[in-house]
This record gives sequence, structure tokens and C-alpha cells, in this order.
Amino acid sequence: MDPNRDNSIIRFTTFWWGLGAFFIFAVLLAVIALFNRTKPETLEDAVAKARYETKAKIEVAQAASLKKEAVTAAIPTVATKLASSKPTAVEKPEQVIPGSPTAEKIAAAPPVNTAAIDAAPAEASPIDPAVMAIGKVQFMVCAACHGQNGEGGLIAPPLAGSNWVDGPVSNLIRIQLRGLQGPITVSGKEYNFAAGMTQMAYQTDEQIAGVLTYVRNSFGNKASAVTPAQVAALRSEVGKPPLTVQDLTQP
Amino acid sequence: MSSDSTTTTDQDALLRASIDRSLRHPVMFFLTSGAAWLAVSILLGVIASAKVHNPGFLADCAWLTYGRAFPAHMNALVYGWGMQAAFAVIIWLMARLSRKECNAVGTILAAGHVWNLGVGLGVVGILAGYGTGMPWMEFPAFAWPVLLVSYCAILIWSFIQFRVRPEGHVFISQWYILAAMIWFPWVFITANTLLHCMPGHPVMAAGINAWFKSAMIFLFFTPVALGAAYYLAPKVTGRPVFSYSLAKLGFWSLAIIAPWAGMQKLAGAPIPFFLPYLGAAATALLFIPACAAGFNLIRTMLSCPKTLAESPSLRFTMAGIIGLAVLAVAAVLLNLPGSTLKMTQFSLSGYGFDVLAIYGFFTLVMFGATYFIVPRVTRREWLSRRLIKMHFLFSAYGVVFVALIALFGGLLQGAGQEDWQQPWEDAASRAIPYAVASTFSWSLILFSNVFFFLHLALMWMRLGRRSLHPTLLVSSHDAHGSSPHGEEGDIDNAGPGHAAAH
Repeated sequence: MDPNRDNSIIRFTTFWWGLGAFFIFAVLLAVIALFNRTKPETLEDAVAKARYETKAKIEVAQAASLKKEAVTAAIPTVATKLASSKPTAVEKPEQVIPGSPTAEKIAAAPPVNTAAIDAAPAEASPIDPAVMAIGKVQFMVCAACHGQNGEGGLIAPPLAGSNWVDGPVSNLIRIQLRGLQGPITVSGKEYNFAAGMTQMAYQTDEQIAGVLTYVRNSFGNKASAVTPAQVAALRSEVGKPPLTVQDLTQP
Repeated sequence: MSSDSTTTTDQDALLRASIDRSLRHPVMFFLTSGAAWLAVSILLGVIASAKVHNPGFLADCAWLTYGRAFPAHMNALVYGWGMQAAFAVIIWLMARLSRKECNAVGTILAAGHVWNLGVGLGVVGILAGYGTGMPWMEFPAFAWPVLLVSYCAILIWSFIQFRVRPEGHVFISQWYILAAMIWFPWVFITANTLLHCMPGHPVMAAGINAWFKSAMIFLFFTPVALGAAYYLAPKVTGRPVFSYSLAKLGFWSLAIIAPWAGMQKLAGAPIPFFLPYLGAAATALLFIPACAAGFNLIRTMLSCPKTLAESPSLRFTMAGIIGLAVLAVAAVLLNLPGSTLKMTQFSLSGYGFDVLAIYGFFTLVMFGATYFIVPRVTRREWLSRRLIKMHFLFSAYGVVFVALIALFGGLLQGAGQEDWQQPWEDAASRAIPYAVASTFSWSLILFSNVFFFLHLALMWMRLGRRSLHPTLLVSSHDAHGSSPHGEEGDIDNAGPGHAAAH
């Protein structure tokens, strides 16, 4: 081997040849990248192709059928209509915000006339067992506070032998729909529970009629049945604040 | 010595001494900082492994969650230890075999610091949650150009040394090392450019990533370790390599087969169907180069059993080559398309294969090379035979446990996952006893490598023994006159019966 092989020129050229050998694939990749600049097509793109074609067709068809002048001409009409329209106040009880003007308006509404309902004659004098069955099921909720046999408890007055239960039907329906707060005297004894009774307006007319009929004809009570029609007549009470004893018709 | 008594042998010895002196700091820098990274990596590995069987361990520290500790562990192992050990061995072997002093020590040291900075920032980046999620490429994207440039600045000088070498003959070690030097930039640039700069379909990206991992093992770490082993085995025993044609077969079959391996990780994924099976076939075929090199080297080392028993370099190299043989068997057993391939997809066994390759084969050979190179570049002998023995004991047995446990535990876990009617938790719980054993073994390896690092650091400070007797694994009093490292007092001697050292 030539002893003069190790000279500075060979070292210098080898330096660049070496770097070239190290980077030859970088150069190749750069060339490939340069001549292969199309974006890779993913599966999602392939699937979406049909969608894009349909979209283009629809846009062309819309542009053909809906002239730009027609759209421009329609704008003032639509705008005037929109500007003159006003939102209507929500009256549905479950959508009324407590304390809002609508709620105050409902509260200030004149009290309903309950005389007609209380005066309604009892229908068939034997109580329908099917209605009693509905009522017995619904009474499971009442029993939580009023006791399994309507004997009352630490947070609710008794139902058994209560002069209110045997009294006017409208009282019971309205308590069911609005709830009751404040002191109340039941069969001569005064009760005052901090929590009061909550409204049960979620029940259907049939269920309220059923449970009231059940309460009025159980635990030794004996009174006329309550009909769904009577409950339906008082549905406008829903959404008003809870009753106090002054709002009720004295038995 | 006077000039008229200067013989060719003396000139050779002087040349070797000047090469060693010129490379003292680069070689010691790479080995010592590599050993430090190895300890850091194993510590992270212990933490990650402990979380597999004990999920509450360090659970309230976001920086050490499994998804961060595990990739930090692997990347510190590969780039912190593996690459730096390879740098040390490559620059020293290439200078010695090309008989050229190193003229660019300053550049190499500066680039070595940049490399360490890149690895350090990368590991912190992973732990801080900025990892890329691509196995073995988890460093945030800023790191790879830094590593690539410092790689070129470190190894270009070995390329030049090879080019201007005075002799025409090319040693077997030089084939492997030169190939590894050129294959690494190819693999690294290809994978990083394709994944970071030219992102294509994400499933294909996962395939490229799997190929990168396999190529790092078989196109860089394997040739570097084989190059070192093909130097150490004949040099320390003083006997020629068993078969030159077998070495040729091993090299060229590796060069032809290894680039195809890797994509078997994506068997069943929606990529062209032939790719994973081609990868599985190539990985199984790597049995041929591994066995050719393994058989050749083991026969060479067994030609001198006494030296094999006494020399720490040979003992580590032998263990590493046995690791290569096990790796070859595992490459076949894990890639049988009908039975095992599907069990390796989402289980511990892939980790077992990686650990076997990086630690069980590559690292053990690098330890062997370290025990040979360091006394020559520092001109001091190793301080303690016991430290070396302890290092061998814990490293070799520890890695046998970690790798075999992960391989078999992974296969059991894979079999559990195949039973799709059982909840996945069942499959995971099958791996728990293996995970406990793995944590324990990593702890042993960590213990031994902390002392290896200290031993190396002391050697770099030239606090080694000022002795003319090499540190052997038997009492030095018995070794007089039959030292595998040569006659007494000649640290550079190639060994008895070997006139012309490389």
C-alpha cells in the first residue's frame, strides 16, 4: 500500500464522502418527497368522496333553482316579518320561573270558584273498587308522612277521622295540586309543621281522584267519591304558591 | 530506547500506545456517561416494572407514571447507554485496526457532550409528557436532528481513519463496524424523516416504527457487538478466528436478511398483507447469521479454555454471544405465524426480546470490550476482581431472569388475551408473578451497574492499580507467565503466540 495515502486531500475528500454516505438516504428521501407531493389518501377520504360529489351536485342544483335576485328580493319581507313578531309569554306552570312577572300574575289571579265542584253530586253511591285500587297504589306516597293507616305522624296530621277529609272536595284537590303551609286545626287539634305539604300535581287526574276517593273511604272515613272531571276543573291551580288554611273552604 | 534497537514490534507498541493515549478521554467519556445513563435507565425500568404489579407505587407523581417512565427507560437504555458504548468501541477499534491516531479529539468530545445534552433533554421531555408515543423514538421531535448531527461529528473520523489506513487488509471487525456506521444513519434518517417530516397513513407509520426498532437492533447494535466480539475473541485467546468463510457467511446473511425484519409487529393490522409475514420470516431467518457468528466466536473462545475462565473480557463476551444464540432461538420461536406470532402483539414478550437483544447480547459484549479497552487507554489496571465478578454475576443472571421471564410471561399473557370470552383483566393478571420477578431482577442489575459506573469513574481518574499484572478473575499469583493479556509488563501485547497485533 502506498505510504503516502494518508494525506490531507484524501482526509478532506473522505470527510465529504463519509458525510455523503451517512446522508445518502436523506437525499433519496428528499427526492422522493419532492416528486411525490400528493397528499396521502386515507380510508376516510375514500369513503367521503361519494359524499363530496353529492354535495357538489346539490350545490349546483340549488344555485340553478334559487336565483340570487330572488333571495335578495325576499330579504326585506322576511326581515320585516321577523322584526314585527314578538315572543309569547310562557304560561305552562312547569316552565314559569318563581318570582317572575308571569308567576306573580298567576298568583294574583282571582281565586277559582269552587262552589260548583263542591256542589257536584256524588255519582254512583257504591264506590268503584277499581278506583279504590288506583288510590291504594298512590297512597303509598302519602303513607310516608300520614302513616299506613292515616294515623298521622311527626311531620303530618292524621287523615283518619279528619273533618277536612270528609269536608269539601275542592279543598283536597287544591291541596293536592298546590300544597299546603302553615297551621291547621284537624278535628279540634292544632298542627303546625315547618315543612308543610308539597304539591303532587305530577299525578294524573285519575290518580288524584283515586287517591282522594281512597282516603275519603278508608280508616273509618266515609264520604263521596272524587271524579277525574272535578280534578280537571281545578287544573288551573297548578303553579300557584302553596295554600294556607285561609285559602280553603271551611268544612 | 535507542533508535538502533527499535524493532518493528517496538514501533507497533509505540503506535498502539499513542493511539490509546489520543483516545483516552473520548473513550472514557462515552463509557462513563453511558454507564451513568445505564443506571438511570435501569432505575426507570425498575419503577415501570414495579407499576405493572403494584399500580399504586408512586401513583401521585405525574412524571413517573407508567406511560412516561417506560419509554424514558427504553430511550435512556438505547440512546444513553447503547449508542454511547457503541461510540466508545467503534472509535477505539477503528483507530486500532486502521492503525491511526485520532486527530479530532476535541470535536468528538464536544459532539459527545451535545449527544448527552440531546439525550438528557429528550428523557426530561418524555418524563414531562412531551413524548411522541413512537417506541424507541419517544424523544420530542427536536432531539433527532441533534442526535444525528452529533453522531456524524463523532464517527466521521473513524470513517476517515478507515479510508487512509496503511494496510489493504480489512479485518472482520472492520466489516461489521463500518457497516454499522453506515447503516445507523440510513435507519435513523429514514424512520425519523418518514415519521416526523413526511407523515403518511398512521397505520403505516406504526409499521415504519416497528421496522426502525428491529433495524436498530439488527443493523446497528448487532454488528457493533459482533465487531467487538470478533476483535476480542482472537485477541485475548491469541488464536485465529475459527473459520473465515463462516464469518463471511454470517456478515452477508445479516446484511441481506436484517433490513427486511420488523413489521411482524403489525400482523393483523390493515397494511399490505405480505409486510408482517415478510418481517416474521426475515426475523426467523436471522437465526442463520446469529448462529454463524455465534458458532464461529464460541469455537474461537473455546480454543483456549483457561483464558476463557480467567479473562473478564472473554467471560462477558462469551455470555453475550450465548445471549445472541438465545436471541436467535427466540427470533424463531416468537415468529411462528400459526401459533406464537399473534401472542406477541400486545404482551410482555416483545419487551423480553428487546431486553435480550440490548442487554443480554449487546451490553454484555460491550462490558467485555470495556474490561479490555479501559486498562489500555488509561494505562491502569482494574481495581477489584470482586467488583468485576459481582458485576458479571448480577448482570448475566439478572438479564437471564428479566428476558426469559418477559418472553414466557408475555406468551402466557398473549394466550390469555386470545381467549376473548374472558375479561382482559384475566390476561393481565397472568403476567403479575412474572412482573414481580422482573422488578427483582432489574434491582439486582441496577445494584451491579452502579458499582460498574463507580469503578469506571475511578479508572478514568486514573486511580486504577499501577500494576503490570492485568486484573484476572483468578488470584494474580497463579497467573504469572500465562497471562492472557501477554507477558508481564506489556499491557499492549496481543497475547502469547500472537506476533503481530492489530
